[in-house]
Amino acid sequence: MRKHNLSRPHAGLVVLIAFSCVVPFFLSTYYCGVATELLIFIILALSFRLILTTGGWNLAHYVVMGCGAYFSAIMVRDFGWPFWATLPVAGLVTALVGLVLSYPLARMREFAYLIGSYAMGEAIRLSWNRLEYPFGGPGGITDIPRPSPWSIPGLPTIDFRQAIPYYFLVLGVMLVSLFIMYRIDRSRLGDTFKSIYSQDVLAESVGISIVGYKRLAFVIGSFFAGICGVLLGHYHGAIDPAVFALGPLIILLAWLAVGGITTFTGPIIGTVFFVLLAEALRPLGAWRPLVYGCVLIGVLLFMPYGLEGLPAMVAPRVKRLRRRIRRE
Amino acid sequence: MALLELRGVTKRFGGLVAVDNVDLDIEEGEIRGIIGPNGAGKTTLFNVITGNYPVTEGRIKYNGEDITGLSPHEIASRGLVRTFQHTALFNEFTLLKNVSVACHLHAKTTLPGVVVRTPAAQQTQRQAEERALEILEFMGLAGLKDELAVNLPHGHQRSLGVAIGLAAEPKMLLLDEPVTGMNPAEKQHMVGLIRQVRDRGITITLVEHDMRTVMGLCEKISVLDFGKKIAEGSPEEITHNQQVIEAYLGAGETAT
Repeated sequence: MRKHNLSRPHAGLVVLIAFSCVVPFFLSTYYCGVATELLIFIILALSFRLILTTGGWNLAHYVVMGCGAYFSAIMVRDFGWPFWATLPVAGLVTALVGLVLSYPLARMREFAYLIGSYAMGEAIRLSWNRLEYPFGGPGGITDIPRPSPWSIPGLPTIDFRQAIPYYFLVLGVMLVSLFIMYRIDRSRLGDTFKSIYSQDVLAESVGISIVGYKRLAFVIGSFFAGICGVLLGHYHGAIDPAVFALGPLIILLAWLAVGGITTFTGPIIGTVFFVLLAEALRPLGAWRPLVYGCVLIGVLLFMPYGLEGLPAMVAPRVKRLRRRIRRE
Repeated sequence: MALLELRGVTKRFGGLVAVDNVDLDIEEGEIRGIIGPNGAGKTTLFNVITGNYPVTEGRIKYNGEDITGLSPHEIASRGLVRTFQHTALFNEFTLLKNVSVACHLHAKTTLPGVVVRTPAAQQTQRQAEERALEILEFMGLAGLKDELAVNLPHGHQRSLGVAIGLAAEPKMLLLDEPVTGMNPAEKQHMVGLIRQVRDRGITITLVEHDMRTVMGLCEKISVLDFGKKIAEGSPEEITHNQQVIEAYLGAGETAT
């Protein structure tokens, strides 16, 4: 039983990683870019879920990601920092921003949390919009360079300005991030976070500090959001306040709603499904948003537990079907 | 010195006085019952003691320390733990996880510990699970440890609520209606468990509507009516107290 539980996901995981290592070589530069963005969004969706496991729908998550992007862009532009230094430091700085935001937010619940997080996010985002220095105002920051090339003696130089090397850079960061978040999710710490979502008053009654753990989850989630910001900023080469507005965040919420949030894989499935769907529907041109919306509503209607709940939903029907076939 | 000391504790909600100038002393090792008609302020009193509601007036001392104004988790960490009237459980968790998460105070873990899976963190996890299983066995729930809490029948849900409270390793346990909604056999079982908990050195205070259970279980009973403590004494004394009879039957309508 135990062996069965462990070995199957591991085998699946190896296949998935192998697939993600091979796939960019068969993609055009455009689709390789789509795949790169997809990997970044997977980290973002899971960092959002990490905060959500304590019960907080953080509408400032995109802005928090923006903090990482802006920090990295400014450090590289004005202080000549290399990308490799800003990547971890921007994560830590964003975690610090998260810590500050978490003080008021951890005391809020439900609707107040939504509005509170939105307000704080907008306060930061609109400051980027207003302040020409150092944020560049509405135009944002352009010409953010890609990481400097790696030249290892004896091997060809790895130039991150090209699509495939940057894809692998992002893939590496994603695997490390997912590993850390997965370990947290499956640990006592993760269970403590979820106990707050489940029954905060009960959690408190056995000595769990709700405010303390909500804050911790927020800081960890912000760290990974910051990392996403750095990866996205240096990938696009330009950022502006509109990139981190509420609209894109709502789309992230749609991914989570469709994928499901009770398991670690739910947000991954939702993100992959919708990013691929958006690409698949591209030929529809002007009809695309309409079809996209209909698919979203259809999934919400017919799969209340999201795509992650699909196996549990389909399994009994398959069993029944099999039984009927055997009988006939 | 009493383990729990309330002095002039008052809780007002706007104009409503839910708890009115209550003095209460609960000695170590007691099983104390708190009874009173509906709306007498029994649960509010619990909520005030455990910090879920702030006190309007008065002081609460526990184990010699003033705990007035502390937050619920701080009070729990001092060994004063409560259960809830409306079954509050971590519904999405298995029974084992319900109780092992509740072992929080004595099985703390760290972020680097869980990411790296250090031997210390792994051991904490194992110990919490072993402890949780012991508690489930004690409460007679071990056979259901992998069941989700939401799927339990009512009686078992109450037991799980108590198991969660015990996981916090209290010195004093406040039970809010531990046998309400149970059938006679389940009640009998729970009464036996509460006695055993007390024999393990945990002081018990309980709010309960079921008179027979309270009278059989508690050595001393305090009676609340309209937020005031109107009587206190042995079950024998309480059943013959004129004020208590009036409170339950309504003043002026006592049987002649």
